[in-house]
Amino acid sequence: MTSSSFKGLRVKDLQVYYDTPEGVVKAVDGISFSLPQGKRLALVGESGSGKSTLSMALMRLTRAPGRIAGGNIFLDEDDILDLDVEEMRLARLSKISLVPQGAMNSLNPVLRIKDQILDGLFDHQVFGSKKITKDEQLSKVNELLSAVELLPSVADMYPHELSGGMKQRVAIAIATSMDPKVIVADEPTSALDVVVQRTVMQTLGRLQEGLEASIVLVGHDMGLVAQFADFVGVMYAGRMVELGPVNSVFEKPLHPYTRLLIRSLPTLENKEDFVGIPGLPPPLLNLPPGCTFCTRFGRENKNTPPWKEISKDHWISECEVCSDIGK
Amino acid sequence: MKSVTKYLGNIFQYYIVRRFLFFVLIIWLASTTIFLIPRLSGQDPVKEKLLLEAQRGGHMQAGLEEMAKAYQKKFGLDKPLYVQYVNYMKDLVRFDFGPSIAYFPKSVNSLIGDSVIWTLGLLSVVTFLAFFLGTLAGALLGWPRSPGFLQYVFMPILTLAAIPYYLLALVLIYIFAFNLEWFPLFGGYAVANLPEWSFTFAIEVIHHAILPGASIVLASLGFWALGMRGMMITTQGEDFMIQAEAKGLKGIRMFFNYAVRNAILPQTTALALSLGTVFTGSVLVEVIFRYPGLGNTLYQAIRLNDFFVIRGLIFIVIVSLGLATFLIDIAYPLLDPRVSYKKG
Ligand SMILES: Nc1ncnc2c1ncn2[C@@H]1O[C@H](COP(=O)(O)OP(=O)(O)OP(=O)(O)O)[C@@H](O)[C@H]1O
Ligand SMILES: [Mg+2]
Repeated sequence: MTSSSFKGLRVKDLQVYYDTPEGVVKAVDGISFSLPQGKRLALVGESGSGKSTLSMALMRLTRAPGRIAGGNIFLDEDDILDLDVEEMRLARLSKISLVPQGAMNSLNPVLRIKDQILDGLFDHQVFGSKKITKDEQLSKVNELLSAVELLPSVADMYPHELSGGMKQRVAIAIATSMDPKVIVADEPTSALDVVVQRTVMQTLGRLQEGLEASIVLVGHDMGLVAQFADFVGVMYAGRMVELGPVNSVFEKPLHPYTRLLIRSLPTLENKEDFVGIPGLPPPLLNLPPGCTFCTRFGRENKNTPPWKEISKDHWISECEVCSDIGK
Repeated sequence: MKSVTKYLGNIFQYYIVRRFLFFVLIIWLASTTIFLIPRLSGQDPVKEKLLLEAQRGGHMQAGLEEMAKAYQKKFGLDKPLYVQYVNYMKDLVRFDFGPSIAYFPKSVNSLIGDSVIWTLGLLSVVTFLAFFLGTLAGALLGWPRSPGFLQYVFMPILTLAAIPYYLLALVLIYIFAFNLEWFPLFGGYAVANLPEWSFTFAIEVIHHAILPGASIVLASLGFWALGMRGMMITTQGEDFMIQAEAKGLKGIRMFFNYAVRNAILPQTTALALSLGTVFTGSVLVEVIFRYPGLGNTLYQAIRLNDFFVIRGLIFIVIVSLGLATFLIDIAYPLLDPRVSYKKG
């Protein structure tokens, strides 16, 4: 282990597999990273690269046929994979919380917003054993709502009465209601329009900063990621291929996949001729060991590339065979 | 603030008024249909009844025509159709279904009145009981954290759903009334007693109701349980269930406030409909147990070709079904906030 007084989120060699009738899908295949307290990590990568699988595993919410096959997830010093079921339940919301995908119906359609904010607090004994009055409960709700720039009247509404952006604000209010150390947000602004996206992200960022929480953000939008995050992790076929400070990764991408990914971003200059990444990511089913990026270009490296720190905090999975691609 | 509540009140009333008008419309259409169909069929219940009597009792064929005329006059069947229709509607509004043909001077109302309390008592209790038990069983079966042994406890009970309730009734009679003699073979109360309001009589009534009740409960448990289990499994896949778990909610809260609370919505519609058929839903059970309820009355009326009794009973079924749908329409927005009083 590294320094035992590390504060933040530390993931070590995490493996999440789906057991399908056809075989094992290694959706997260040995991912390691450290995210210091108060910092923001963004995960990017093509669809199917395992970002959602990773974020659900961080909450220990992996559902069958998925399973966490190995590794560690340290919150400060404690490995949450060692917690028993009840300890894990209590850790959710209070230590690590989830902001759901924007396109999801993550709020219970038949409960009022205030009840959906309060029930999590009740089940974590936030108000202790003492009986608290309805007024005290409401003032807590109002405090959380105003922190996400919602009016107190939202408390009495039902989810279907809110816009997508308002629902995401409610989700953020819930996720931050117990001052967690880590917030996991899987595409929190997908399906929202661009203007709303920005304001919702600003709210999320402001709250996360206030709480000094770490945040793991899954994002499709590279522009948003570059603006929001301190670190960016690039995922490819269930593995992390590059991880580093945002500036360093965007300015000096070291892995060929990152280079192609950045180049494929539409800019004002090249919006005419859109460049995609040639080929397709390999199917994750029964994936053989070796460099998965080489196979996309008809090359071959039978050895799984090592995870190396090239410069301070800047890591890549280094493969000599494909390192020249996209230069 | 005052104007807001007033505004909401108006919308509320508007919704209810519209639902009520719809209810009235259904009743009107249905009762008109009951009025027309026998007349279109060209059959004459009075004449047929008399013919039957004649064959049985050896009456003279000759006097029959006159007798039929006399009855027709009595029942008002000799008047023009529209007059009959208006009279019929007038009677319906007053809940007056006329005299019985089979038990002539006795009115349909008193025949129905004697039996309605038995059916209402037995079947409303039984329907709610089956709904409650079945829905609970289905909810537990559809909940992944339920202890595994529940599968083995509930599944055999659910297979009873495949057996028709009247067969189940016969089996129960054979085992518990005939062989074990725990319960009476038939009836709503002991033949020696007359209905009265007393504790011992109440116990006796319950004692008589257990077997018919049990056969209906056992047979319909599976219907409620399977429906609920299916909805529970569907609900598991909803995003808000994942979010509930991510919030670190207690299992019991996720079960009741999140899963059951949403999965039960379609069940309540089905409950309203089955309450609507309470009066005649279990005719065969009443017949088998010779239970003094509406089902038995209907059976006798059909056997004796007692047209006015049948018509009265059908009307009651229609009104109760309509009423049940009307009530669920009013109650549903309280259960599901997405259905508001403003729309629909
Ligand atoms: N329930 C499942 N059963 C089998 N395979 C699954 C299951 N869920 C996900 N996978 C596989 O795991 C891989 C990673 O999926 P995941 O949803 O984590 O990707 P993602 O990076 O979040 O993609 P997106 O950007 O589209 O959200 C995919 O190849 C997918 O096919
Ligand atoms: Mg995803």
